[in-house]
Parts: sequence; structure tokens; C-alpha cells
Amino acid sequence: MSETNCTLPLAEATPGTILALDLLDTYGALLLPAGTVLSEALLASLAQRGIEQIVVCDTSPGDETESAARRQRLANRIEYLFRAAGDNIAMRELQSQITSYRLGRPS
Amino acid sequence: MTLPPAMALDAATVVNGVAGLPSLPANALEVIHTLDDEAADTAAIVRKIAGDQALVTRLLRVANSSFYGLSGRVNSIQDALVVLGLRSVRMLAMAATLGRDLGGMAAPGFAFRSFWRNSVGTAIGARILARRLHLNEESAFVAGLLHDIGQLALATCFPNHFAAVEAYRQQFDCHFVDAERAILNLDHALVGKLLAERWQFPSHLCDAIGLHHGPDHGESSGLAAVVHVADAMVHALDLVGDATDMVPRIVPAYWKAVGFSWHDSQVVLQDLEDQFTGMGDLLTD
Repeated sequence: MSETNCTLPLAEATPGTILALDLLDTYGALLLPAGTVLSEALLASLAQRGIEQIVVCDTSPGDETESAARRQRLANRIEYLFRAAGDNIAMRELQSQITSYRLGRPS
Repeated sequence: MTLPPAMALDAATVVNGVAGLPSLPANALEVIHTLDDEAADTAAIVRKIAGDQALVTRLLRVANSSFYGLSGRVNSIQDALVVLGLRSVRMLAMAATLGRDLGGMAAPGFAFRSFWRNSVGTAIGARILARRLHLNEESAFVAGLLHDIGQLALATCFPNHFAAVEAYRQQFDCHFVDAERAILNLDHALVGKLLAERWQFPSHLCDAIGLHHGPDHGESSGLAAVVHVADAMVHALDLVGDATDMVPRIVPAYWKAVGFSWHDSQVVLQDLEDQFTGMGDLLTD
């Protein structure tokens, strides 16, 4: 469902990433509006301001490889977070809900 | 594994140990005690919040964040009450003050940031689930905020024990509660309950804290179930911000009690993540 937004550590954002939400500083002032395409320079200045993570649009159109890599990274992370789930049915259900939420419902 | 017996704790030792912790400030306790009070005096609440400038600043920051879509239009506590409603303002105020108080209480080595991200996320999730199940939303929110208070108490009052638990967890890459039970012969849910009782929290809140990792001897609590599931969701959504995080074990009885359809789960997860992002300003100083 939410293949549109995901929270990303700033260090992992690459130029071309699109901000999904307005980015505010700690005083509530607008730093960058939603929809901003982050450039190398913008990423550097956000890092300088101590921004640790940003909410970005998950699909960057026209860059299929990167999108696939990001999906793979998300899938691996979910596997890791659920590494102790074993045969706990409730946990496997939650895992499948989270996977759908992050990556879309499997067809 | 043979345990060093010196590391085992019992309830009496814990009660003695946590007695050294300062109590929560009167303001926070008062909110906790008026949780079920539908007729809580709005004017009195506003007066109290307005007397705390740091709190006012944080509240307005959240109310003005893009999450509420009203950027720049909320200039006063009165405005915030209109935009967010009394209950939400009270909950935000609670989260903001508790974050400050508990942060000041925590031992230097304690990973307070992850702890508080999980607490705030669980509070938001528990509130969302409580609304669906027609439980008291505010109680669920506060129970979520405080569910892991026993971890903070252990780390602060029994730093050596806590370090041994953490070492065990890292060595075996296991659930935190399992490491606690192996090393201490009790877990932070019990410690939290003992502390909540000492602080004279209402009994349903003590129970929710004590039972949040599972029912005990058949005792159960709806509030504990929503906190339990919300906690798992927050870890699963990776909101805690800890590289070695692990989704806590879900108790089937609680999962069933909260039970929702696949479609509902997507709505709940989205709502939880959106609200967490909106509250982000409460997490930073």
C-alpha cells in the first residue's frame, strides 16, 4: 500500500531521491518542501544541519535498477528484523503484512 | 548455561532498588490519574501547559508540522486545542514532558533515544488499536509510553545486571526478555509493574505494563494486548532506529484479541507510521 513513502537514513539517500514530506528543522521552520529532488549539494547541507533521516518517495521513476536494489534492501531488512520469528504464526502474519505494506501485495 | 547466582534478582530487591528513583513530576502524575476523567478541566490543563515554555514550543512545533497539514497556522495553545482537540493536546503534552523527565532519569550508558522512539511509537500504535477495539485511547497511549519503563529502571538502578543482560543478548542474538529471564530470573515487565505500583499508577496501567510481554497465570488485559501488538508493529516498521533490532515475540492470545484483516493491517500500519513521522519533533531536543 505504501510503496510511495519510506523513511531513509540520510546517509543512504542518493541524489535524485524525492522528498515525500515537508522537511522541517527543529524549530518547525520549513527547510525543503515535499517533492524536492535532492541533489548532492542539498544532501550535504542536510547532513551539515544534523538531519538524520528523511521521508522519501520510494519509487524514483526512470531508475528501475535503483528501485529494485532498494526493494531488495527493504526485504532483507524485514527478514533480519523477523529473524527470531521461527514458526510463530502471529509473527509470520505480521511479517507478511509488513512486507505487503513496504513492497506491495505479492501477486 | 550455569548462571552466576549473584545476578539473579527478586521482587523485593527490585522494589528496594527502584526506591532510589525520583518520582514522576506532579504534572505527569496528575494526567495519569485523570486519564478516565471525561470532564477534565480544559482551562486548568491549558494553564498548566502554558506555564511550561519548553513544552509550549514543542507542542506548537508538532501542531504546525506537515502531518496536520496546517503549517504555520497554530500560534497558541488555544489554537492547538481547536486543531488537535483536547485529548490529543493532553497526550502530546504527556509525551513531551515524560520524554524530558525520563531522559533525565536514565543512566548515561542507556540507549535512551531508541528506547524513547519505541515508547512513542508504541503509544501511537496502542492508541490506534484501542480506538478500533473501543478501549480508552488515552490509557492505551500512556500505557504505550510507559510499557518499557522497567528497562529504564533496570539500567539505572541495576547497571551491572543490565550490562550482563545486554551482553547475553548480543552473544546469543536473542529476545531481550529471554536474556533478562536467563540472567535475572525476572523481566522488565515485572520491574515496570513494581515501579508503576510504587508510583501509585492506576491498577489497569500497572497491569498493562506488567503483562505487556504476555499473560501471567491466566491473567490478561486488553490494554496489555494492544500495547503488545503495537510494540511489535513499531519494531517491525523499523521505527526504533537500532541496527540490531529484533521484533519481539508475539503472544498468540494477544494477537487474536487485537485481530484485524489484512486490509485493516495496511491502514493501521500507514496510520502508525504517518503519526510517528508527525510526532518526530517530540523525539528531538
